[in-house]
Amino acid sequence: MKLKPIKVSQLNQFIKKYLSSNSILNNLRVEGEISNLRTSKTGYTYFTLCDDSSCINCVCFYTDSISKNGDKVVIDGELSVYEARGSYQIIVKSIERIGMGKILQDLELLKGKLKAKGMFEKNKPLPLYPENIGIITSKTGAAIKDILKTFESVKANIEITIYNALVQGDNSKQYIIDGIKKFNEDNVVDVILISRGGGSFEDLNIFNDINIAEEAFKSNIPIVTGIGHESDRTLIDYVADVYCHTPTAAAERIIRGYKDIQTKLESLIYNLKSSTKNYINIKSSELKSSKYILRSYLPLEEVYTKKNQLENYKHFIKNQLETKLNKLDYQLNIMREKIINNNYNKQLEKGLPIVSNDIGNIIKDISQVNEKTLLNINFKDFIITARTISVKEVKHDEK
Amino acid sequence: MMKNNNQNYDSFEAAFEELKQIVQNLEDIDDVSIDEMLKSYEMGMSAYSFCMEKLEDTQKKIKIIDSNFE
Repeated sequence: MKLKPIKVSQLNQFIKKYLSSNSILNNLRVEGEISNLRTSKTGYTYFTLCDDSSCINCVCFYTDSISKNGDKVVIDGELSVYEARGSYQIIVKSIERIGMGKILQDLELLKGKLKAKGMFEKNKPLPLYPENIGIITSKTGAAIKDILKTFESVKANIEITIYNALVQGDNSKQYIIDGIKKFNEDNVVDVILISRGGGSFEDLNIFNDINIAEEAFKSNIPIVTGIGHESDRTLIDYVADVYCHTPTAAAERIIRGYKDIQTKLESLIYNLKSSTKNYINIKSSELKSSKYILRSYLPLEEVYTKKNQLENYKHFIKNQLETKLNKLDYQLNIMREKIINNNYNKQLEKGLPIVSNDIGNIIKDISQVNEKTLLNINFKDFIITARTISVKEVKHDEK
Repeated sequence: MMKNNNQNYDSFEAAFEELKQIVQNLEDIDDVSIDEMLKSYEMGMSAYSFCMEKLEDTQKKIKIIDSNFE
């Protein structure tokens, strides 16, 4: 016998009623991995929850911005039938991350809580030139060696106090809290450095403890953290006044003031030296120039010129004198000649002759004539030309 | 170096100027009497000697300054 056929919608209605009445399906806790995560325009988040062999669709009537594909989660929700499609899905009330995801989720919650309280706003200024540095770390760890080396690189008189703390395992939390308390009680150090070398997530997770965070927040002395490596950031890093990526970086940050001064001093000294050298060089050049300029004012050329002129003047004066004397002498001779000639003229007037040779020299001496010498016998109005026949000396008695 | 009559002059420039004047006066020898000529000659030589000595002194002093301060 065949059954009376029912409609599809009637079937789906029945399935929905049947499933809704099941208390287990109304109160589900399902474990699985998220995939195919997407958010619709309406703000609903859809994903598929799977295990090794099977999947089921899920919907959140809210926007889930935390979940990622691949997250292993536990879903709280209820099953619901989508009548029109004949499919079913889980309506998700809440999602819980499990395993690693859970720890991180808890941490995010804690972060949110503390941030809301304003505990991340702590920003005390560090002393520029710390005189006393307190360090909370393991005295046998790797961190302290690096830190001390960094402090030694600066020529400053710094007191260092180390609060030896375990930095591994659960007990370490108390050490760190005690360390912060003690430094604050004694109130000797100007800055506290909390440090630990690199490690696994578990190793560094102790610094995510809320009690440590609260103690750090309460600290009146500024706290610098230098925990782990570059990418690690724990809760105390957020609360601290200054957070650095590594122990060495934290130590560098603390002594920054000294290093700056050192650099400034070195630079100033260098400038002083080179400025002074330059100044001395410039002045030295100016001096040399001055020397040459000074020398150029010496009348060296002039002296030579004047000396020459003096000589010229001297010669001129001498010459003029000599010339004058010569001239006078010459004039004198002319006068004398004139006078002599005058005497001869008187003689001619008397009718007495003056005898001269053919070139006009008056014969006065026997040496001027010999046989055959042509003579001119000069009378006043006429001249006789005669030839010598003979010459004879005439001696006179000397009385 | 003879030092006759060298003290008459106030300065090198004065002596030199006088020498120049004497030279000018002697340009035309006909205008000058023999006595004047002789006088001029003596004064000229005196001025010349004064000037020459001054110049040579100066040169010597420059040398000394150079060697003192180089």
